[in-house]
Amino acid sequence: MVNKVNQMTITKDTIRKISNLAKISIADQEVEKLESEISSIIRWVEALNEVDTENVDPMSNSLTGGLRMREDLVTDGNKVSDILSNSPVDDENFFVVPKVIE
Amino acid sequence: MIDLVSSDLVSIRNSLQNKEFTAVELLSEYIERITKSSKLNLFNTTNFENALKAAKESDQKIIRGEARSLEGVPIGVKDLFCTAGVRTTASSKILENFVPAYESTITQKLYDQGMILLGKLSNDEFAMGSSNETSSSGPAVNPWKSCSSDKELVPGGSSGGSSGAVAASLCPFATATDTGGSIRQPAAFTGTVGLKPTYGRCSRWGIVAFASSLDQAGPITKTVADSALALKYMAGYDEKDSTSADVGVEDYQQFVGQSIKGMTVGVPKEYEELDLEDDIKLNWHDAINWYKSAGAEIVSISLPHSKYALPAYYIIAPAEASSNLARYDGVKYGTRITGDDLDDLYKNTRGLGFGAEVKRRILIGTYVLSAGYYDAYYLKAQKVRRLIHSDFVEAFKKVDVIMTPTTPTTAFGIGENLSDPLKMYSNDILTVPVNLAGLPAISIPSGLDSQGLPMGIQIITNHFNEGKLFQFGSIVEKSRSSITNQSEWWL
Amino acid sequence: MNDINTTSEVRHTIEGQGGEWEIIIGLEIHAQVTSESKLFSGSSAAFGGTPMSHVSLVDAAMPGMLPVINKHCVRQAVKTGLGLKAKINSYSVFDRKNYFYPDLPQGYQISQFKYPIVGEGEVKVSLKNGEDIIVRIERLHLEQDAGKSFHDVDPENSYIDLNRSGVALMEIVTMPDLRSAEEAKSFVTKLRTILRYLETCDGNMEEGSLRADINVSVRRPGDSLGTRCEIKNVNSIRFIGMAIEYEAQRQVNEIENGREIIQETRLFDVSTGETRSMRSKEEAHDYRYFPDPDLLPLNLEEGFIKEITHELPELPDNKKERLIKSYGLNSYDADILVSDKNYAEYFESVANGRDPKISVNWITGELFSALNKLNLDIQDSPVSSNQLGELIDLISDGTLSGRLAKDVFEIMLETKKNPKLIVEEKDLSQITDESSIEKIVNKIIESNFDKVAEAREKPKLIGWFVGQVMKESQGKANPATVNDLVKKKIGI
Ligand SMILES: [Mg+2]
Ligand SMILES: [Zn+2]
Repeated sequence: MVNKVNQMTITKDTIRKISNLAKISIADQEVEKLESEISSIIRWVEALNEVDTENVDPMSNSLTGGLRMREDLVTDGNKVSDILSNSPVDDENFFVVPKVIE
Repeated sequence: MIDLVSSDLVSIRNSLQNKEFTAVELLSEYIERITKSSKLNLFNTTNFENALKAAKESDQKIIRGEARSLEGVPIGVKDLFCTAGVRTTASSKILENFVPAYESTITQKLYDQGMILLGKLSNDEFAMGSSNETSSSGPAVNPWKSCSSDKELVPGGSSGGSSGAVAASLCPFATATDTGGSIRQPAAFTGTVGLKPTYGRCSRWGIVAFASSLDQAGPITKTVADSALALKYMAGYDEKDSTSADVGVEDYQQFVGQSIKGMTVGVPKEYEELDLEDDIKLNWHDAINWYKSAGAEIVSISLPHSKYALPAYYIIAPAEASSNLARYDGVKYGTRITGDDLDDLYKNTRGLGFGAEVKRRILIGTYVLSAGYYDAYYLKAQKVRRLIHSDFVEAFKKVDVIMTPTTPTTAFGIGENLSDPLKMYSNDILTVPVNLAGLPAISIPSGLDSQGLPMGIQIITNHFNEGKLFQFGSIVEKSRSSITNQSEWWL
Repeated sequence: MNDINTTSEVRHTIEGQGGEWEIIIGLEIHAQVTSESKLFSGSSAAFGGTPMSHVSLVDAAMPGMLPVINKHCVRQAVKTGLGLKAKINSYSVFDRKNYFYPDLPQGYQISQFKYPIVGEGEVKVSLKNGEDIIVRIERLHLEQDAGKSFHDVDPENSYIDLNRSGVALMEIVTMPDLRSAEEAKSFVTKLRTILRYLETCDGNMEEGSLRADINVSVRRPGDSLGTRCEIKNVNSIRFIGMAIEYEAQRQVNEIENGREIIQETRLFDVSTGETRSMRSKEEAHDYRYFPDPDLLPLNLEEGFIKEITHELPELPDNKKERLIKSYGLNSYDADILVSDKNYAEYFESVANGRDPKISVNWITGELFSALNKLNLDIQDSPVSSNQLGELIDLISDGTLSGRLAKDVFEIMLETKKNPKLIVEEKDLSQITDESSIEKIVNKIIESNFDKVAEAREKPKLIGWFVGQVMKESQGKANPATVNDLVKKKIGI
């Protein structure tokens, strides 16, 4: 059996929605270009729908054997200057950002 | 005067240890050559001052008989490896002033053997690209030119700075990373040897991540023997990387030149159908004969799902990248571009800090993971990934290695493929399946095409069997015709 | 979310204008795992510290940094799962939950979405009315805590400290089985007790070690579930009760006034006792969960789980049952004693070879009120369990009357001395010798002869005579003997 997904069309709205999710500003004139580029890429990857993947387990890594665990020891920290050395704005050891409104 | 062009990693290492020249002399030659080669635009950052200090120390060690395995040998490092105190940009505007306080595991291991950092090599921004044109510092340039045209060619990508620097003899060995072909394709485009080890073979700690389940570091060198030597010191278990495999590292040089008599080489029949340049096809058939002559049996194999590797890759890699690159938000480090509020800060920083290709891939990755599309795209691609992996597992029950061309074309002109992402992506058609399956593979220069441009043969083998790559790789190296770059036009 | 509670019986309702309403509550508890270091890095998980001091390169999401999981945190999650009588999943997966927030340095939280480490379990909760309810646990998963934002340091800016970033949390999710603020409070109290028994979370709510997200909806009894609102990050048991009561009433008012409940995230405002909509968070969330490619699936071996099973302490329910059975305690007393394992431990030490009822009365009476006044935990009690036991022995063997014992107890609290020593030093032992007591009784009667006749009329006055005798003996006379003698002398 071949899985067939609904044709999903990418609109300018889709581009705005995902750029908002990804926190990337997109100029209005860019939206159209991205719409066509991403549409064609997405159409192209939909070739995967030809493949029968029923009863196939997804594979997220080629390594097998499971996760290795470390011992519960404090081996790190106390490197405030390393943490802050590339910071755009900091004060009193805090990172500073424009006010977050909750 | 040291002949850098005809030197390789092994010969330089030996000359230093035999005190034929000093590390300082060698370094000075490299610095001079690098300085003269600025047209190639291969270095993002140079490290000459520190390097000189280190070279002096290396010379002391050599004199005292305390030389380590690669004492005093200069190295170029892809600008994706974090280097303590040395700017690390991933060739992105968003990290243009980032100076890590830490050293990647791999570069540290190489320093521990006495290697000296020459500088940081250009790459496609965040390793996303196949031409090294997406770097924020502008395109890197291939030292090779076609015999019929004067146009500048791409050195391949994303490790174009690394491949270009080794090809131009600006360093005997450069580190690189390969997510979908980013070591092998540039190696093929520049007549160098590019090795992508098994996923988990080399630590990813301290390497700017692109797609974590696919990224793997490896060396670009001039010869197979150099590659074997380099891997020995790059490879190894790292407890700081949960995906680093605790599998013993061998002395890989022993495999170089070892007989392959009675062993089997698989040739995937599906790849015959691919749209490959004629010269590349011919070269591939030549290679089949080289292996026959060397006593190997050629076996036709089938990798039925390989043709789905590219689409699967262009879902999985952007998905992982969209998440991996979320940390570049202008809060903790890197470029910050403010606006009216925090949301503006995020969007401006990322909108202006990332280049077009990176943004495109982040958006694709965001899309395929978003609610309603995850199953249709991401999950589907991960299932196809398993089928691709299983194809290889089946094949390696029958053959020792699989041999294919590395790329469908030789190096193309700068700007030629930029406007068509899909055409650009198709460059990786022969290399991407290997990353999805986590396998090791090597690209060996296998001759020049009718334009005088280098071609590469890719050899793939089973997980953690890198030795066979060197064993089979040296056959290509021995059998091919000369691939010397006749003109040093950029100097 | 699974469907409504299996028990469709209506346990509790609130009154609206147009009749009764039932409240449906489910909780997501974030419990900080007790550990030395963080879930995926080697920096300290300790509370406090100067800003950024408990931060590694991993916690700050520096380029190229990678997570490595803390085995102890995994053990703690499994242990907690076992304590919640839950299914332990030998296969679980860490996912990334993607969103942007300044206190989330990676731009994603490593959590578990599809395959949590612990599956379904249950907690028995004893309510104040003496009834027990079962609250079903849907799952427990491990995840990272975020850093901390300070919004009130500066008018223009928020300040971010990453000391909390990456600390291990267990998110414990209940089924919507709770029906009142009281039930929710009792559940959280019980859960906290279990976590403390297990030593997997210190339950310190002031330090944020235990926080609740509360899902509240209302419905007419018998109706299907209404639209729910989620109240985020409530960090005290009292506030959990207040938030639920306010929110339920708000929803009833909305519906009764013809408005619809909008599914949203709300914030409990401690200063007003009200919940309010978090408008800034209303923008549609799409967390794009996917397996973290830096981590492989977590496979737990049977031996690992078995080893943890063997380490499990006696849990409150079992302890309660045992206390009732071996000491003959009533359910009420047993509940008090098991609510803190240190209470139970103290009790068992006191009751060893002594009357359990007298022991429990002394502990929950005199001792608790003294500790309460002194603001001390039982572990820091100035009166040790051995000392209290010795005091009870002095009552049993007649050395001290109940009243004297209380005096001695007061001195013990102040001096930490053993009761026997106090009795000796202050010559406090009870006078039981009848002839000595008789002398005092005679003396009192002689000097109050006028009242004797009166007492014969009004026998209540006997008490006055007894009191005078006790006073004269400095409280040492055995009150029963005094009583008998007074009656005899006066002739009643
Ligand atoms: Mg939650
Ligand atoms: Zn949570």
